[in-house]
Amino acid sequence: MSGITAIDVTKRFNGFTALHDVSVTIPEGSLTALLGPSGSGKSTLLRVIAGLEEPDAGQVLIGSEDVTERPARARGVGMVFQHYAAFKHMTVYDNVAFGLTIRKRPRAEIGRRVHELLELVQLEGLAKRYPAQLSGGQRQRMALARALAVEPSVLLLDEPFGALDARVRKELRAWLRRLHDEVHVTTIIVTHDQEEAMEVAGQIVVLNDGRIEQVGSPRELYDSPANEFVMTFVGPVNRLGETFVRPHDVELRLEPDEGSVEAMVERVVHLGFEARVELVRDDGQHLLAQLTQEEAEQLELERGQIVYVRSSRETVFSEAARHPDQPRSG
Amino acid sequence: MREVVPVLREVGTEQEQAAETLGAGPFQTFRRITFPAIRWAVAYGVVLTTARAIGEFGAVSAVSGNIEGKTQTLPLYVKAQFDGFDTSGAYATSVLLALIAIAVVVGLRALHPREESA
Repeated sequence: MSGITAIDVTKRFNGFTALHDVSVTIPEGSLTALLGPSGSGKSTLLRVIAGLEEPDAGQVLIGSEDVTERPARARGVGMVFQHYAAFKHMTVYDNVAFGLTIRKRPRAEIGRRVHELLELVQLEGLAKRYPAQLSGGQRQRMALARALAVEPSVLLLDEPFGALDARVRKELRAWLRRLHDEVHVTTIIVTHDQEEAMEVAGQIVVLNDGRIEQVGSPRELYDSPANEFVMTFVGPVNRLGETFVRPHDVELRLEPDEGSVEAMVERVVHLGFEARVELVRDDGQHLLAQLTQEEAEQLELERGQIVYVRSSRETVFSEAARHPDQPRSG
Repeated sequence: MREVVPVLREVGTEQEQAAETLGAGPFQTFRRITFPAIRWAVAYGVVLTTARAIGEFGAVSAVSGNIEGKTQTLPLYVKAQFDGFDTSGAYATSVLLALIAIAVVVGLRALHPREESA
């Protein structure tokens, strides 16, 4: 088990720069998410760490060793791909055993280890099946067992749940979290889904346009985003001129009070525990408010009704943080 | 080539990359991952090429001059025997050709990879 350090990593593809001088430290034993929209460089960074892409500049350290020049097969990484990359002509057993077979371990040891892993990923009894006979979730768990078989010092997951349906995705997230608590291997998960990142990871690295916007815990990113990009990417947000307000920080009143603004209810959406209220302020700006169902009922909100809104918490970014596209240091 | 290239494209490179991260060198990756994934297409290509080679008539006759025992294919042999009024020889060779065709079909079926029948 080891931490991972990337130092000033730059990667270009045919004139397009996927990573600009990216430096980041992934603590040993952590579960870190690389979060960003598509094209932000998050997968490229993961592949550079895995050794599947060669950086044009910069270094990659696993533990204290510089592995920049080392091929993927000698880096001791376990990798899981979005589309499973299952070896289709092999049984589940042979898939999981692959890394050990390559290393010419004794047959008995391989058998023991594979069964241990299949149990860990809850695929006991499916060892003789072929990947085509498994569901997507099962295939991905098999891929995870295969990656863990060689006892990698780091585990790299490239959008591992991206190809699965919403329900399975949710189950596997919770399962991955538990698995990480059990095996404690330094893990990086690439995702474009902020909810997934927040749910699974202890540390999140937000990437945009090949640069790191912010690194922090889910809580830090949500409560104190470094800039406009992070603020809008990690959760829903209302923008009122230069001010940003989270929908759950919008308060609704039936009577005007100090600092409140008149607004009209456009639509109320009930989502179980929470209710979402779409509003138009008297200056024409649209606003989204999140209330509990109870609050919404007390206000007896209806379409067309006039209410008074104020925000309990507002965020204003400095000039530099407001234009994250401008070149800046760090 | 025509059989193998589209299959290679479809399979993609993810499996090879996965094998690489698991510690396989280029040769091991080819032997254990790439080749098994395309073996059906390779076998198919070999069989088609062989069938073409065995069954070729016009090109061999015109280009290489149909020299007995050197550049003579089975269909050319059938024609030679037929022209020489050795009808039974011609028929026997034809039956052999038919048997080869059947063996090829049976062989192809047997080669059919497991994951596709699953």
